[in-house]
Amino acid sequence: MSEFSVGRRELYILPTRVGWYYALILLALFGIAVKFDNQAAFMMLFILVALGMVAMVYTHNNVIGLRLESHPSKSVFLGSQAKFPLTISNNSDKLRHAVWLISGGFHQLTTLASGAQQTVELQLPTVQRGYLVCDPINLSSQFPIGVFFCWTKRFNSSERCLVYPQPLDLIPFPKDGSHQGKEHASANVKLGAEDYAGMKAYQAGDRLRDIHWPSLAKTNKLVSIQYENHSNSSVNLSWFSLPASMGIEDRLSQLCFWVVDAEQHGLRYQLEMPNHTIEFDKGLTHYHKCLQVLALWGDDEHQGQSS
Amino acid sequence: MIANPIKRVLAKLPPMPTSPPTHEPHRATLLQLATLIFVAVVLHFKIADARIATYALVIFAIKAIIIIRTLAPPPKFIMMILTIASLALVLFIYGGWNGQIAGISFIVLLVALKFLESHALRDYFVVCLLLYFLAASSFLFDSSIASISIIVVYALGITGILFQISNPTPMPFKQTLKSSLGIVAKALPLAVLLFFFFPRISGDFGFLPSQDQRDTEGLSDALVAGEMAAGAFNNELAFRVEFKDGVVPPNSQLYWRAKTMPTERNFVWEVGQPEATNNSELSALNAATSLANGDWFYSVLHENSSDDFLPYLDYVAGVNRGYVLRDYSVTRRRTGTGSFSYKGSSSADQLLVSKISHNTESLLSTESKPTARLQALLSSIRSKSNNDAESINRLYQYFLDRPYKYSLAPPGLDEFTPLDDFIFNTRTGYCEHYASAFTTLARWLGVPARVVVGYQGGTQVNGGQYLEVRYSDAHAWSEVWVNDQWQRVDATAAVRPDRIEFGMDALRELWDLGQFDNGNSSNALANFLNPTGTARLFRDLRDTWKNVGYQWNKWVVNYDIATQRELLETLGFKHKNGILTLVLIMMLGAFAMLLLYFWQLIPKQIKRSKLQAAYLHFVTKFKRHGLEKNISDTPAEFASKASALFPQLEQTITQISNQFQALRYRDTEGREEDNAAKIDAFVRQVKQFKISVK
Repeated sequence: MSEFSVGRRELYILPTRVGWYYALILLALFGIAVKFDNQAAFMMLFILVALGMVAMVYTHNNVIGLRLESHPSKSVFLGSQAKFPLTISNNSDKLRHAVWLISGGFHQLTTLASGAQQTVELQLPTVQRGYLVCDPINLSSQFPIGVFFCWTKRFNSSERCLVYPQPLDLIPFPKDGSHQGKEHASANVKLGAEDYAGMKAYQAGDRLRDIHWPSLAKTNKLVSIQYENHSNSSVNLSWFSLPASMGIEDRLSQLCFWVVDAEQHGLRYQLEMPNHTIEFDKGLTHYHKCLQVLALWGDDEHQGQSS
Repeated sequence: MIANPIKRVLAKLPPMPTSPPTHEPHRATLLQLATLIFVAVVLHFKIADARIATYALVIFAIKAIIIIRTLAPPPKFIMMILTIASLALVLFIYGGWNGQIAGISFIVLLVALKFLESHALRDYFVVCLLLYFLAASSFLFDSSIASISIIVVYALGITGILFQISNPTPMPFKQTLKSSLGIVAKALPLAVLLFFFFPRISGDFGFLPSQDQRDTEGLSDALVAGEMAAGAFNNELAFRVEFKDGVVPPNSQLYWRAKTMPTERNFVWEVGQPEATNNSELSALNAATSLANGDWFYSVLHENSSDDFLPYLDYVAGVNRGYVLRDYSVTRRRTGTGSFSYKGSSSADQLLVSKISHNTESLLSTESKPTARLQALLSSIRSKSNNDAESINRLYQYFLDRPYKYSLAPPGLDEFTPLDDFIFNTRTGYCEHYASAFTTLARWLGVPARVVVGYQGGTQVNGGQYLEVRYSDAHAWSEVWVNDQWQRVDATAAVRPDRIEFGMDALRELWDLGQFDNGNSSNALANFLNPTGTARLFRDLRDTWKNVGYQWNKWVVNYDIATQRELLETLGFKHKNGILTLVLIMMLGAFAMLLLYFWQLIPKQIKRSKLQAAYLHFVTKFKRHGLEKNISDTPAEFASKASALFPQLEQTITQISNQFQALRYRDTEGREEDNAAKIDAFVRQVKQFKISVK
C-alpha cells in the first residue's frame, strides 16, 4: 500500500492548446485597444486577462491536496485486464470538479465533494506473465475553463499485479503413462465418477455446486458435500510430460490450463517443474502457489520467493 | 553558467500524462451557446450591413437545426462554398476587410461558420474565444455604460459555456451560473487594477483594420440662417465639463468659443482660411498660454466629434490640447476617433490680446450690400454716434427697442435681400439670425466685427458638480473690435435674455409646453427651474444616472495617459517617467503576490484549546529536567516516563495526566459549565505543579 498526496511541489501547470488560442485572442484585442485607443476594449481585455489568471489559480487549486492511495491488486490471467484499486480522496473543504486519473492509456474522471473519497479500479492490459508494475499515475485537470492544464508528478504505486500465464488447452492430457508420475496418474476426470464421501463445514475454495443447500436452510450454516474419487483423485501435472517440441510459453500455458482444470474439478494435483515440484494438494492456496510458479517461471529474481 | 538553469527550465519539462479522451459537448450547452450566437448575430444588424447579418443568421439557422435534430455537421465542400460566399459578401459590400465594420462583420461570419462546422470539443472552445473577441470589439462602436453592462453579462454567458464544455460531467444551469459569476467576480478587482495601472502606450499595428469614417456631430463651418435652429432639438451630448474646486462662472459668462467666422457671403458666415501654424507670432501666442493663468479651470470630456475646433471658455488662457489661433479659437491638429478629454483655463479678461494682430480690412469687408432701407438705418445710427462704441450701443439698442422675437422655428427669409427681410419684415429669428445681422450691420457701420460660434450655457448636473453641454446649446454671437479690444455683443441676449440667463434647456421646456411667447412663461420657467414633488425626484434620479454615466466616461472611456498620470500623482507617485513608475508598481504587485504565495507555504500554527495549552505547558515543565515528550507518546506513556524520573511526584503527575485524558477524551455526556469549571481547575493545577529538584 502506498500513498501520494499532491503538494505544491508535485504540481505542474501549463496552458492548453485552447489556452494558447486564448492568449492569441487577448493579443489581438490588445492590438485593437491600443490602435483605436478604446478604453472599454482595454477594460474587457483586462477582464479577460484576469479571468485567465484566476482560472489558472482555480485549476491549480482543483488538484492540489488530493490524496491517492493504492491497494493490493488481485492476480489475473494473461489476456484479461489487470486491476489496481486506488482510493482518491479529497480532504479539503472544496468541491473538486473533473479531475482525471491517468495511468498509461487508462483515464478515469472523478468529481469529489468536500471530504469525499472514491475508489477507482485502474485497469491496465496485460501483455506478459510475471509481475506487472502499475504504470505511473498522474492526476490532471483542466477545470474550470480549459485554458490551463494542471498535472501532477508521477506517482509510482508500489503495488504490482501477478499475471499468470494464459491458460491454453493445446494438447490432450497424456494418457500413455510416459510421465514419471504416481500410480493413479490419469486425469480422465468425469463429473459423475465421484462418490459421496460425507459432509464437512464449508471452506473457502469449495465448489459452489458442492454446497448442501438444504442444510443452509435448516442450520443457517454452509455445509459442503465431500466426494471421494477413488480411482482418479489425483493427477501429476508434469513439465516433462509435454512434448519436447513445445516452447516454454506454450508449456506454461498448457500447465496453467491443467492446473485450472484440476482445481475446478476438485482433484488433488501436483506440479512438477524442472527445478522443483509442488506436492499433491488441492484448495486455493495450493492453486495460487502453482500458478505463481508458472507465472514467474524463468524470472530468477522472484522465483526464490515463491518456492 | 547562466545557460544551465534556463536549459533546465525549458528543456526538462516534467513528463506529461497522455491527454484524456475528449467528450461530446452536451446538447443543453450547445443550445445555450446557440442562444449567445443568436444574440450576437441579431445585434449585428445594428452595426453592419443587414445583408451580412442575414447571411450569418442563415448559417446560424442551419446549425440550430443540426443541433435540435442532432444531425451530422455539413460536408466539407458545403463549408467551403459557404466560406467563399461569406468572403465574397464582405468583399462586395465593403470592398475588403479594412475598416472596423468590415472587420467586425468578418468576425461575425467567422463565428457563425466556425459554429456550423464545429463537431469536436476544441471547435466549440474556439467559437467561445471568438465570441469573447467579438464582444470586446463591439466596444469600438459603443462604449456607453449600458453597452458594457450588456457585454459583461454576455461575457459571463460565454464563461458559463466554457465551464460546461470543459467539464465532461454535465453541470446544472444554476451551478454553472454560480461558478462563472464567482470566477468573474474574482477576476474583476484584478482587472480594475490592471486597467488603472497598466501603462498606456499608443501605437499602430499594421495588420489590424483601420478606423472607419463615421458620421459624427459637430458644429457646421458655415452659419446659414435657419440651419442652426434645426439643431435646437438635437439633444445629443457635445461635451461635459467639470470646473476645478466647483468654481463655475455665472451663466452669462458661459460662452464656449469653438470657431470664429470672419467671412460674410450674402447673409452666410464662414470659417476663415486655416492659418499656417508655424508662424512666429502664433508660436509666441501659444507659448504665452498657461494652464496656471485664468479665473476658471476646467476639464472637458468631449464626445466623439468631427470638428477641427475645440470649445474653450471665453477667453482662453491655457490649453493642454490643441493650438490657439489668432481669433482665440483652438484647433486640434488631427481629428481623432471617439471621445477625448482636455483641460483648459479661461479668464473674463483677454490675457493673450497683446500678442495678436489682425487685419482690419478683412474684418470690414462684406459681400452683400445694404438695401436703401438699411442704408437709412445705418446713417441714422452713424449720425447720432461719435465713435465706434456708441454706434455699437445704438445698434444694440435698436434690437432691444424693436419687437424682435426669438424663435426655435424661425420663418424663411427672402432669397436676395435676407438681411433686409429679417430686420424689417419677419423680425423673428434664432441666435444665428441675430449674430449674423448684428455683425453685418456692425461692419457696415465701420466697426471690425466677426461672428463667433460655439455653445452657450449648459445644464448643471448633480448640483453643479459638472455641466452638460449639448448640441442644442449651440450658439452664435458677435464680436466687435472697440476700444482696442474685442468685445462680445450677443444680440440674442437683447431679444431673449432668458436664453442666456437660464439656458436653452429652460427655453425648450417652454417651447414644448407651448408657453414660449405668452404671459405664463415666467411661471412655467419657475416650475422648470425649481421643480417640486415627483418632478424633483425624477430630476434627481435622472441626475444620478447622468452622473454614473459621466464618471464612467471620465474614468473608463476617456482614461488616457494624462488621466493615468493624474491618478498616479494623487496616489503620491510624482515622477516624470510615468511608464517607469507603472512598471515599478506592477513589479511590486507581482512581488507582493509572490510573498503572499510563500507566506501561504509557511505552516500555520494550530490553534490550541485552553485545555491543550495547559497540558502542553505541563509537558514543557519537564523539558528543563531533560524529559521531552515524543509526538507518539500518549499522555499515559508520558506520565509513566515522568514518574520514573521523578518518583516523588508520581501521584500528581498521574493525576494531572488522568485528568487531562478525562477532559480531553471525555464521553460526550456532561454539561458545558461543569466542564469549563473542571478545565479551570485543571489549568490551576498545572500552574501550581512544580518539579522540585532532588
